[in-house]
Order: sequence, then C-alpha cells, then structure tokens
Amino acid sequence: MSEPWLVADGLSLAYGRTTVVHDVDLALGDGDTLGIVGESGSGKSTLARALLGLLPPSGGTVSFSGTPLGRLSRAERGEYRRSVQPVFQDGVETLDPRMTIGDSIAEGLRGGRAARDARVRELLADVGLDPRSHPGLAQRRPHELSGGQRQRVGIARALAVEPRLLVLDEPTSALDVTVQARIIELLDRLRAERGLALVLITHDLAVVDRLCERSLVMYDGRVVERGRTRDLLTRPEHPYTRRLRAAVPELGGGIPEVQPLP
Amino acid sequence: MSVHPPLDPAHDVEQPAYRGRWTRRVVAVVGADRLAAVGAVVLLLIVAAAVLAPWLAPYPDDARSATHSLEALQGPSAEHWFGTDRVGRDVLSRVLFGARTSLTIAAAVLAIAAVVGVFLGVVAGYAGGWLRDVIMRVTDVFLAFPALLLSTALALILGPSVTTAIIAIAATWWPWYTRLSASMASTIRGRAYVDAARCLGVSRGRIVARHVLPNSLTPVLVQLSLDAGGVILTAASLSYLGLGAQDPTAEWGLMVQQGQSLFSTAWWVAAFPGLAILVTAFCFNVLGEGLRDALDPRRGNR
Amino acid sequence: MTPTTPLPDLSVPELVEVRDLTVWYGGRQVSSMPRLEVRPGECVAVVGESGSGKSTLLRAMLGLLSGTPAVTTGSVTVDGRDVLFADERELRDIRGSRVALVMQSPQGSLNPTMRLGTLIRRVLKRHGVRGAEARERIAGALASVRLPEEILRRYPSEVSGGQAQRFAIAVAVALEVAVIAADEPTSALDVTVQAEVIGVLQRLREERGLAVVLVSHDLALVSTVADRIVVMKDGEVVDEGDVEHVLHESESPYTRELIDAVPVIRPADPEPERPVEEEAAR
Repeated sequence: MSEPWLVADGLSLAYGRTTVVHDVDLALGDGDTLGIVGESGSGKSTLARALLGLLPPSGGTVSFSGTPLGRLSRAERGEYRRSVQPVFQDGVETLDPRMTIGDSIAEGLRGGRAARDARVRELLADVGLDPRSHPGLAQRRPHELSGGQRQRVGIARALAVEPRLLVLDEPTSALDVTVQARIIELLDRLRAERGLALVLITHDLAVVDRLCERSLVMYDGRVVERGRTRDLLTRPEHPYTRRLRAAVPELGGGIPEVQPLP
Repeated sequence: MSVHPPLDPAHDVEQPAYRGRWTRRVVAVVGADRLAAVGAVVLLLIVAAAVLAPWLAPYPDDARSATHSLEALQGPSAEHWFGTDRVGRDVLSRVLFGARTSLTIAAAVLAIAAVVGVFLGVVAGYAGGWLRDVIMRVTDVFLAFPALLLSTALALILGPSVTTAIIAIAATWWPWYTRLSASMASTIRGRAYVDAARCLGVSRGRIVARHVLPNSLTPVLVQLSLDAGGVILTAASLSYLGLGAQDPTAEWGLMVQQGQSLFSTAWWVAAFPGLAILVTAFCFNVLGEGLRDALDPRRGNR
Repeated sequence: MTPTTPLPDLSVPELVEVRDLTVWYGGRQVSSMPRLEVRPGECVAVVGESGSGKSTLLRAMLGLLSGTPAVTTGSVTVDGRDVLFADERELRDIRGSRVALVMQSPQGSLNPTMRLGTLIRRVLKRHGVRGAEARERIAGALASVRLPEEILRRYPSEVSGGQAQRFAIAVAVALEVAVIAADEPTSALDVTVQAEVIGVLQRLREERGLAVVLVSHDLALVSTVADRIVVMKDGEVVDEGDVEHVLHESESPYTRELIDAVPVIRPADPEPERPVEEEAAR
C-alpha cells in the first residue's frame, strides 16, 4: 500500500442529534482500491460524503496530507478538491437538468472556451462517448441520454480536474446489468491507465470483488470487518459478513439461506 | 392578499431548460386549455390597450387633469362609448389609461416582491442554519398580518399615492416568494449535481447563480402570473379606500369608488372600471393556472 | 439448497394461459408473448432489462391495461376466464380471488393512514370474507410469511421494506389466490431481505401450491427459485425454457450476454499445499 494521503481517524458522523457513523478509521493512498460494503442504514453513503468533504465530522477527523479538512488553507483546500472527486448513483439528480452535457463536464475547468471545449471532447472520448461516434452529445441535456451514458458523463466530469481518487457511491446500482458490466470495465480501465485510487460504496459484493483490493464491511454505522476483499468473501469471519455473503444468490444455485440476526 | 396560495414546493421540480420543448409545451397546453388561451389573448389585448392608450383614447386629456363639467354624467353614446363621469371626463379614455396604471403597479409590485423574496428565500434555503431561521421567522411575521391591513397601515403612514400603493403591496407580497424559493433552494441544495459542484470547488455564489436560481425559476414564474390578478385587485382595493392613486390619476379602483355612490343613476361610471378589474384579474388567474398545468412535472414529457 | 417443488402436472389445467399477446403503446410494440402457461405450484420468471416489456406483460396478465391507451391483441385467460377484454367488475373479481399483484414498492400500495390489520380485513371483506373466517385466514397467512400477529397493529410507515413486502404477500395468501404475480418484488430491498422474500415465495409454492409469475431484472435471484425463465428484450421474447436450459444450454446471444454481464463473486482459490499461515493482524 502506498503512502496514505486521505485518512479518517476515529471518524464519527451525525445528522442532527443522531449519530450514523461511529468511530471509523481508514487510510487511502495512490492506487488503492477500497470497497465499502453495507446495506441500507449502514452509514456507507454518509461516510462517502465525509471523505468528499461534504459533511463535517461530529467526532474524529478526516485529514488530507496530514491536515484535517477543517484546517486546510485556501490553497490546500483547492488541492484537496481536485484530488478527490465523486461519482454518484445515476439518477435525475447527478447532472443539472438545465445544463448541457458539455457545460456539466466543464464545470470544474478553467480557461477559455476553446480550451474547455477541446478538453470536454477528450474526456468524452476517455469515457467511451467519443464525439466522433456520438456527434452533438455535448449539446444535449441529461434527459436525452440513457442511464449508462449519464453515468459516463458523471465520470467524465469527475475526471476533468484530474483527481487522484474517485469516491463512487453505488455507481451502477440503478443501471441495467449489461450496462453495469460496461461501466465496471470502464472504471477498471481508468484505474489502470491513470493510477486512480477508488473508493467504491456499494451493497453488491460481486462488484467489489471485481474492482477492490480491500474492503470494509459496515453495519449500523460501524465497521464490523475489514481486509482483503478476497478474504472477506471467501472466509468471512464476522456473523454479519457471513450473512451478507450467504444472501447473495448464485446463478442457478439454491435460494440463499439467511439466518435472522442474533 | 394573495388570491392563490403558493404552489406546493414539494411538487416543484426543476424543468429542463430545453427552450424549444418548453415553449412547445406551453403552447400545446394553452392550446388544449381553451380558457387559458382565451385569457392569454384578452390579456394581450389589455396590455396592447395600455401601451397604446395615448393613441387609442379618444380624449386622452381626460385621463389627466382635464374636466368638462358641462358634459358630466352622460350615458354611453357615440361620442363617449363608456359615458362620462361626475366631472365630464370620458370614461373609456380613463379606463384605457387606468390599464396602464394597474399593469404598472402589478409589474412593479411583483418585480420588487420577486426580487426581494427570491433573494431572501434562496439565501435562507441554501445557507440553512441560523440565517435560515432568522429569515423564515421574519417571513412568518409578515405573513401573519392580513395583507390588506398591512398595506393600509403603510399607506396611511406614507401618504396616499400610486408609489405608496406599490410599496405597501410589495411589502405584503414578498414573503410568499421567500417561502417558495427557500423550499426550492433547500431541495436543490440536496441534489447530487450541487454536491458535485461543491466537490469541484465551485463557490457558493456561483452554485446559487448557476444551479439554484435557474432551477427555481419555473415555479416562481408560475406564481408571478397567478399573483398578478391578486395584485391588481389589491391595488384597486387600496385606491378604493383612498389610499392609493389619487384624483386625477386614472386608476380603476379609484374610479369605482368615485362612481359608487352614483350607481343607481349613472351606473357606467363604476361599472366599466369594475368590469375592467374583473376581466383582467380573471385572465391573469386563468393564464396562471394554464401555465402551472403546462409546467407541472407530473404531466410527463410531451 | 435446491428447491424441492412438485413437477408441473400436465393433467391439471393451466391457471394462466397467454396466447399471441401483443401490446402496443403509441404505435410501438412494447411487449409480446406468443405463448405462456402457468400451472399450480409453478414459478415462471420473466427476465429482462429496462424497456423489455416484462412489466407490461404482467399488467396485461392482470387486466391492468384495460382503460389505458395501450392496445392489446391476443388472449390472456385466468382459470379459463378472459382477462384482456373483461370489464372492470369481472376483473375485480378475478384479481383478488385468483390472482394477486405484488409490486416493487410495497409501501406504495399500502394506505399510509390505515393500520395493516384494518387494511387486510377490508380487502378480505371486499371479497366476501368476514368474521371468524377472515381471522383464521389472516392468522394462517401471517404464519406462512413468518410475520408476527402484532404487525397488524402497525402502520405501513412503521414496518421495514421487507416486512411490508411480506405483508403484501400475506394479503394475497389470505385471499387464497391461486397465482401471485410479482413485479420486481425484491428490487427495492436489501440483499439479505431479498433472500427472505424469495424464501417466502418458495415456501408458498411448496406448502400451498401457489403459482408465481415473477418479473425481475435480477437473473441470478430468479434462477434460484424459478422453474422456467422467459427472457425478453425490446418487447419480444428472445428465449424461453427451464432454468437449466436457459442458464447452460441457451443459444440466444442475448441470454448469453445477460449471463456474462451478471457480476459474480469469484470462487475461493484452491487450497495451497503448504498449511496456510496465520494472517497477520489486519
């Protein structure tokens, strides 16, 4: 594992008076791939928001290159923002419905119109929406695109500022399974080509198996197990991890047996 | 006094700014909704009449300071289609110029109310926290006053005039826009594309300008058209009470008040301005409802 | 655990029969089913991605398309009674006595102002079941779906998604329908809860001989419980057969594409010959 530059230390998060994440530690360095696995109510999405600097900690810290987010200088904050980018679950809300695709992608870019347009074209090609095979896409609006295309645009927007880490919150859950497979391939390719680190939040164990070297399992706001993804999936130790693993249906297998929780 | 309660913000979703679709949709629904279409046409005529009043009015001076006591209280005739009033002024001309006054008041009031209201609402909705609490409390206080009462009080303090009427009515109208836009801003703030913008380092001001305001526009526009009728009625009420426009300004409410005591003998003095108020308010309402239905996201994509 | 279900008894008449069904909407064909039969105790899964027409098919089978702008041709019969062109009264009779619908969002179909107990009693009453008989049926239904009786006192907002879904199934069971038609019943649920709900459906087949028509995008999940799978794409049936055939012997390229696309957890690596060393503390 490389030198960690995004670290959560004893992180707790709350909405109002309710604590939804308790005492989480994690450390991310360049090229790391971490899965955060859990069901609804596990706090995984909240944790993602904290890593993205969208939610301040109620306890503990999130630090960028050693400095807690709340104490970053203006310049450091800019660097942090560029380093960590989100990809959200596809939905009507990922892209501003009133903006063209091109404008959405270019939102983080500076410079003249021509330079930005060129960069947008490059990015579209990078995510599999090459303007030559999809002419005029940059002028379209989100509702004119398919779910898979919108998700690619979301990825392009994130890549525009050349981040070191992508935080993906259920990036494929709303997509058809064939589309999902292609997006996963895209993410894998981008990771390999650019040395991107990935934090993948999902309930889908098979997807973390594919993309994440290491994973955390969350339940009720706490990390109940962590380690190499392969180990978690083949030799789960915590009862919840076992339960989660057992619940995944196999193609042509039997009905998953799920024990009620202790 | 708002004739229509504000739209339920929970149902308001930002509309894609695909302008072609937008206008097509509006035209399609207004086309389907005959009443709205009729309202729109009549409204256009009224606006045209207001704009062209100096040329359309047969006796434009009557709308200002001219008086002709010898021709007082003549019934509708070939020379005076709407008859003359107590001091011999042509009612038709005064009604036409009154359209100017009423529409100007409506436009001014709504402009002030919308600008102030939306600004406060967006700040409240986006900032949240104590700022939101403060702004919404103040809004609630204003909303607690019956609008006419507050307008009346302000007009009494400021002295009656058209300007007073504008200020007084605007002061009671802005809270609705604050509520509406605070709710919209709060909703939009939670949207993923706003999070993405924050992560891209876009400043709060730019987020509000680029994302929050444009996506809040549609319900505000609809509310404006629904409110226009109400504002006109309120302005007329104020003038009727003697707190708005003063003689010799031609203003429909004032004209109704002036003709009221003469109703049994010279009905035309109050009837025509009164009719003008009714028709205009009605058309605005009907148009507003047509627009609201046209832009209702639940209609689906047409 | 492979499901132990009775083999379809071909001497028993079909509960649901579909012939040459085609549904058009706005001039386009959105769904079609040349032939489908569902017998008591069978589970037929209709699988496809968005736009495949699978949900429309289910709605057609329940007579939910009459009165909508959709144009349908062909025939769908439930227990020998036509469902496509029947009038509302006949349909209401069929729905709730022979067929019941379970939808993706359970809370959507439950009146939020009514306690669950009130709701189920009202539904039963509408179909002529009251008093002691109703109580018995309700108790039996709750037992089949493994929900405690006290849940009747709760409001829909007070139960979890999985419980709500099981309750919706319990209503169908209490009505003593012969077929449960389920449209993405597990898509909105957590993985562990999905397994519970599927388990419930399986038990109902075994214990009560219920037939299940299951529409889903989740091929892996349905393959654990279905006898037969129908694969749809863009409004057409592209593949059909029993589970074994569809999963392993299918010649349809789309089926293969679907199967390949399903993300699977790779099996564990084979044990190395040397004993595994204790993993260092993580």
